[in-house]
Amino acid sequence: MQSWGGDMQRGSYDVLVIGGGVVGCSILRELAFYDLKVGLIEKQPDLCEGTSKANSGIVHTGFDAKPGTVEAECLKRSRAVWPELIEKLRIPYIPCGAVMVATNEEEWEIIQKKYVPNAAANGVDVEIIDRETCLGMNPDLSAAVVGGLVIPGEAICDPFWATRAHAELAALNGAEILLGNGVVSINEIEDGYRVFLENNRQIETRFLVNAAGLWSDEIARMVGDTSFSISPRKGEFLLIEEEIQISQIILPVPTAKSKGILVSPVVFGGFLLGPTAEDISDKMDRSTSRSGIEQIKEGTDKLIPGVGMRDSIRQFAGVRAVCSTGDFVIRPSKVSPNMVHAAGIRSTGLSASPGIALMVLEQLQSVGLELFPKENAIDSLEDIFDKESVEGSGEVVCICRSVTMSEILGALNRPICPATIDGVKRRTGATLGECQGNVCIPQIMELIRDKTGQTTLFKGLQGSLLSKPMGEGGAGRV
Amino acid sequence: MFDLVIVGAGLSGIRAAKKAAELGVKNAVVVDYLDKAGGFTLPYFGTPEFDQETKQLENISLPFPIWTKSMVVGLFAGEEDQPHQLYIQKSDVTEMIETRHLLIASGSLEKPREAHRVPGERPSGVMTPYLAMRLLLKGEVPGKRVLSVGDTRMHRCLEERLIDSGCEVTSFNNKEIDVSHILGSSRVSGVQYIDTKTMEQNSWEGDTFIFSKDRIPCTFFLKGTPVERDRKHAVIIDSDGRTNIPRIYAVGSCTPYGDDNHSNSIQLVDQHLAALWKEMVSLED
Repeated sequence: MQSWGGDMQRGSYDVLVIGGGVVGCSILRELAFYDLKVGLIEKQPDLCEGTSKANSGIVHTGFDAKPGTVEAECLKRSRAVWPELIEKLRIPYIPCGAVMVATNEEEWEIIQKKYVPNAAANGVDVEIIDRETCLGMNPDLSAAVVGGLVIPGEAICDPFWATRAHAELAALNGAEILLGNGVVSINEIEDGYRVFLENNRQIETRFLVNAAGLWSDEIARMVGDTSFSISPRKGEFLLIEEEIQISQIILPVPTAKSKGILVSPVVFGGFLLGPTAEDISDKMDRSTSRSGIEQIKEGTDKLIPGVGMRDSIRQFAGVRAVCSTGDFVIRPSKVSPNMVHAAGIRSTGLSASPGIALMVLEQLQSVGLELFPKENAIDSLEDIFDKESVEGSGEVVCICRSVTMSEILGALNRPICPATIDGVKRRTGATLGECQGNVCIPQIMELIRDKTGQTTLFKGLQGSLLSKPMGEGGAGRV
Repeated sequence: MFDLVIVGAGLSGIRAAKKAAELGVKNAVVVDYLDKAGGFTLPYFGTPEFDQETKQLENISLPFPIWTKSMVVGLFAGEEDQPHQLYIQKSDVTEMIETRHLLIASGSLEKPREAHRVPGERPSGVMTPYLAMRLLLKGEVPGKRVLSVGDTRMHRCLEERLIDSGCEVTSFNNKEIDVSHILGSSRVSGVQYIDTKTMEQNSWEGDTFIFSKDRIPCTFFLKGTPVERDRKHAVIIDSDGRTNIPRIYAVGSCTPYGDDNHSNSIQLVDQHLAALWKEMVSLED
C-alpha cells in the first residue's frame, strides 16, 4: 500500500474519489483546484490498472456519439478543453485525424445518411473524400474502398500518461492518493460517509465520487443504489511492429455492439489492431484468445488486406464497462445523494475525461458542495520531473526501446510512482519492446527497490509477485 | 576515427576482437551495453553446459578498449569512402564516433510468449530463461512449481539450477508440445497445451512458466538505416560476412547463420568473416 500527499490515516475529507482510472484521476484534478480536502482511493497498486490500461489511446471527437446523450455532452465539453490539457499536462499527442472508410456501397450509404448528419448534430467537423483521396492518404488501404469520411479532429495520445498526469497535477495541488487499497463497505453517517477499506482502515468524507469503472455498480450497491449494473465487454488488441502505410486512424463503419475493429497508429510507435467486442462474465478476464486474434485478422483484413499477419510483438485485452442504462451515469445517487456517480463510461473514457470531470463538479455542487477556487493552484506539470539528472545514469536499461537509467529514475521521482514494474513501464515505455522486459526487468527491479526501499515487488496487479528472495521461507509460492 | 568498431562484447564480438588484435589491429573499440563482456550467455558462465564459452571469455586482454555500459543508438553509414558514424549512449554522455569498418556482433534475445501470440491471460511469472536465470543469480527464485518449454541449452541449464534451488520442474521442448492457453489473472496458475504426438489437450498447474522459441536478433539500432535485414530482423550477410553496405560486416546470432543456442557464435567469426579479416590485414600495410 502506498500513499501520497498524506496517508489518509485520519481526518475527514470533503470529497473522496473511488477509482484511479482516467476518469477518477481527471475528476481529482478538477477538485484539487478548489479549497477542499480531497483524496483518491485505488484498489490496485497503481493508477490506470483497469479499463484505462488497455484501450486504443484514441481521443475521440464524439462525431459518432448519439446526440442528446450524456456521453455526447461530455465529449463536446472535452473537445473544447483538450488542446489546453495536452499543453498543461504535456500529454504525448498526435493529431493524425481519422477516416471512416466504406468498403462497399452499403457502408457508403450508411456513412452519408447516418454519420454525416450525426457529426453535424454533435458539432464536429467532418469531410467526405473520394476513393482516390482515401488511398492517397493511406496507400495500404484495401482497393475495395469506395470512399471515406475524414474526421480531422480525431487524435491519438498516450493514455497512461494522460491518466497519471491528471493525478500528478492533483497531487501537486494537495490531493491525497492511496494506492493498493480498495473499498470494502460504506456507511452513511451524519453529513457524509464512513468508508471502510481493506486492512480495516476507515476514512470519513462528506462526498463520494464513484469512478470505479467496472466495479462502479458494486460501489453503488454499497449505499443501497441498484439503479444501474455494469457488465464487462472484452476487447482484444494486436500490436503490430511493422510499418503500415497509413497516415490516419482507419475506422470501419460501426456495428450496434461497438465502434468496430480499427487500425490505428500509436504514439509510442507501431500500430494497433482491434478491439474485438465480446460480452464476458468475469470482470477480471483479460485473456487473449485464438478466436480473438482471428476476429482481428478478419475485421482488419477488409480495411487493409493481410495486416493481421504482419509482425506483432504483443497482444492484450481490455475490458469495457457496459452500463445497463446505455449511457454515462453522471449524477448524484437517488438513494444517497452525497455520492455522485461517474459510471458507465463504456468506450470514450479517455476522450471524455475532461468533460466528465467538469460535469461531476457541477453535480457535486448541486448536492451542496461549495467550490472556492484555491489561490495559487498549479495548473501545469513542469518538465523538471522528466529526467533525473543523476550523474552516470545515462546508460540504456531497456535495449529494445532505448530507455535510459536516468529516465527510469526520473519516473520513480515523479509525484506519484508506485513500486511496480508496470508502473515504470507506463511512465517510460520500458518493457514494451520486442523482448517484453525479459532483459531489463532485473535492473528495473533494482532501481525500484533502491528508490522505494520496498523489497517485495509486484509486476502489476495485487498478487502478481514477480519473484521471492530465496532466503524467505524457501522457494516462494505466491 | 577508428579502424574498426565492434558492436557487442559477447561470444562473437570478443572472438572477433581477439582475432583483430592478432592481426595487429590497435585502433579499435568494442562496445557493449552490459557492464562487462560476455553477452547474453553471461548468466550461464561457470555452468558445465557453457564450459567452452566460459573459457573463451576468461582473461581477455586486448590492445584496445571495451566500452561497457555503452549502447549504439544510431548509425549513419558513410557513403563511398566516408567513415561510418555511430552514436553511442554512455553513462555520462552520448558520444559520436567515426570508423572505417564496422562489425555488428550484437547477438540475439530469446523470443518470448507475446511474440508468438500465445493466447491467454497476461500474468506475471511468465518469462524467458534469460530473465529467470538472472533472478536466480540475484538470489531470487522465480517460483516453486515451474513449467519450462523450449529447445535451447539455456533452458536445460536453467532447469538444472531451478531443481538445485528446490523447485519442481516440468520440461518440454517446442516439438513435443504446443502451448495453447496461459491461465492466471495476476500470477500464472497454469498452462494448457497440446501433446503434438497424441494431439491431446493437457493441462499443467504451477506458478512459473519459462518459455522461449526462436530468437530476436538485437538489431534495433539498424531500424531506419540502409543495412538490410531479413524478415526476422537478422542482418543479411554473404558467406564472407559482408552486409549490403561497404565496410559494414556482421557475424553471429544477429545474422541468419547464427543459432538459438549461441553454439556457433565463435566459429562463425573464424569461418565467415573473410572479407573483414582481409581488410584488417591490409591495415597493417
